[in-house]
Amino acid sequence: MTVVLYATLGKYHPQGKGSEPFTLRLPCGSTVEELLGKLGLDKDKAKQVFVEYASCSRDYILKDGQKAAIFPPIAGG
Amino acid sequence: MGKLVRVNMSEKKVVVEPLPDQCEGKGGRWLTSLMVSEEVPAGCHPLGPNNKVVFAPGILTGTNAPNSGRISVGAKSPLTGGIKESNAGTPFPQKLARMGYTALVVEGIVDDDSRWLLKLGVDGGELVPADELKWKGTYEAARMLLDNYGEKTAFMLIGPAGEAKMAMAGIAFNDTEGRPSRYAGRGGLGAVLGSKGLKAIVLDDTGAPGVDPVDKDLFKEGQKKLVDAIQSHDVTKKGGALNSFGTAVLINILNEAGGLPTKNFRSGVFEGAQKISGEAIAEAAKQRGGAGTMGHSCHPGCIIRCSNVYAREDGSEHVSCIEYESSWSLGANCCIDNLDHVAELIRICNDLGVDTIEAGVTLGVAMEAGLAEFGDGPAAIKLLGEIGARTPLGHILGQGAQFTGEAYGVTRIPTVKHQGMPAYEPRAVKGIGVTYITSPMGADHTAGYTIAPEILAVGGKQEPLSTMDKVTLSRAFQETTAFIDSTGYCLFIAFPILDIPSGFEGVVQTVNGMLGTGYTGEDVGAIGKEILQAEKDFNTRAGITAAADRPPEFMRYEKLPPHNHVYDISDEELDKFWN
Repeated sequence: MTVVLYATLGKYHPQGKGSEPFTLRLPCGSTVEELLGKLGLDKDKAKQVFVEYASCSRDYILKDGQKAAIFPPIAGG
Repeated sequence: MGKLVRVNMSEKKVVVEPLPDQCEGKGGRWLTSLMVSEEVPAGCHPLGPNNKVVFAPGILTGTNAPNSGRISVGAKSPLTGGIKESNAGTPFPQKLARMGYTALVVEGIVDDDSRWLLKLGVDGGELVPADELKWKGTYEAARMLLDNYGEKTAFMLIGPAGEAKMAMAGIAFNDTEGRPSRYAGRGGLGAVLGSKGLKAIVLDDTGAPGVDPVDKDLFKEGQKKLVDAIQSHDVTKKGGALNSFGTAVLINILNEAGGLPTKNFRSGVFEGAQKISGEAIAEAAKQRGGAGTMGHSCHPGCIIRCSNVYAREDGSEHVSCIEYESSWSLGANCCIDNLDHVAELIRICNDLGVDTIEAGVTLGVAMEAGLAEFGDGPAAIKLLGEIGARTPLGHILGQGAQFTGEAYGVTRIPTVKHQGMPAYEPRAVKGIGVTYITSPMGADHTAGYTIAPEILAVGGKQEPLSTMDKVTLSRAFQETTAFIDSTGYCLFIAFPILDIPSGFEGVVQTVNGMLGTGYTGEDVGAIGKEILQAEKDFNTRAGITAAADRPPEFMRYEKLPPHNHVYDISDEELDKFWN
């Protein structure tokens, strides 16, 4: 699946490419929680994960071909 | 006792009076809305002799409470026809408050095409002819003011759009380095000053007595709690998202939520979002070096520092600053994904003295009308040039999105009460739609920022597409916001105080320490409610009824991709806001 790490999480990009999308292989039926675990992102670091234009719970089961957009705590206005 | 300055443009007189009793203990939006309600006939022409412009630093402005350098500006708006309060963070009100002034009222009107400058000192002020500033862009005018009155001078300016009485004209204040870049942008207040012939104000704070809290210990206790909350909350702390990427850090999350208005509100997703995001701005600052700066502050005492300076490829300064709203309005909303083009559009807006939100929404409508292609940055730059040249087309555009759309027969006009919608799609984020629709200010995200729980998971979490309890949510946010807008605190303190109770306590304690009052947490909402009601009553007297508390019709029948929702909070439900 495709993963994007936004804002301060860009430093966790496996190739050091900030917020550029990258591909990650996960076992079938993996959850958001497992995705974050694989990336080494704990709950404090990754505040929200958006898939299909909606914020997902940690037990959301990811599907092949989806994009996961991961955000730290952010705000603005 | 505070002082009130009255500047009469008809008689060219400046009078300092004691603050009326009913104004004591008030500041910011509380004071501007009260004074406009009491002194401005609601039925008056916004550009006529009976309108007044009220400037008021917040209750805490001028103290060393963190992030407390906001000024409110109020008047009857030429854009909405209703009451307006627009605020900005700048060193200007910090000096004004320390000089002992609680409010400054500009009234009357010039009877010719002359321009005037108000020089204000601790003991009073004078109006001096300023025709040398006539039609000058704000950058050149600011330079002239700094050359004449000193590099540290705090100033207010209007640009050529204000002088031409255009309804998208804002009011510029100096930033910490003397740029005319801190705007009370919304609602056409620059045009009201333009109608009065007041081009600029400069402050000489020599001998300023300063601002002293009544109960210093309580003030300090509250101040510490608020500082701790701001410095420990993930979004406002040093190195956090706001400090590192600026407010445009929101571009990507709104896009991923399907709520970033794109192509004049035809879609909630913009393909080029990443290129105009806070991450892209920070990367440019890193790669280009030179003047490029993140973590810039708009006034001394700001400990969040979300502003920035954007540099050209050669490292020279292009503009300060690229905010989320501007990057969206002049970027995604117009399908422009070139950050240098967006920066140039912002620079032109600042120079002309126009609100970047209204300008971007207007350009989106103009593109809809076929005046330029979506995505064509140079064509957008040329259209803003029409405003600067004051051509007939420039005068149409300068009146804002509603006027432009009507002039060209456009039906997709994203406004409420004639004010352009900001950077959050109401069909994808239902609560912010309630704020746009019900706020006495017209479509204004800052009036009740439900985005915090709906998108950012700050202050709880609410499902953005749900209509459930969104009127109640927006009302709570609008009431609290009206209070915060009166304190002088930056609205961004709301993020930490929503999550950290001691931070909220600190806000109430600093206000009580300053004034010697005994306000409780419950009073915050009650005061906010009183302010909102006064604003609503003004609008009612001005002829703005519940019929204006509606979304633009196209949002009722046009489904917005990717969620394919219409705006489905009913008129009956919206009417409950004021019940």
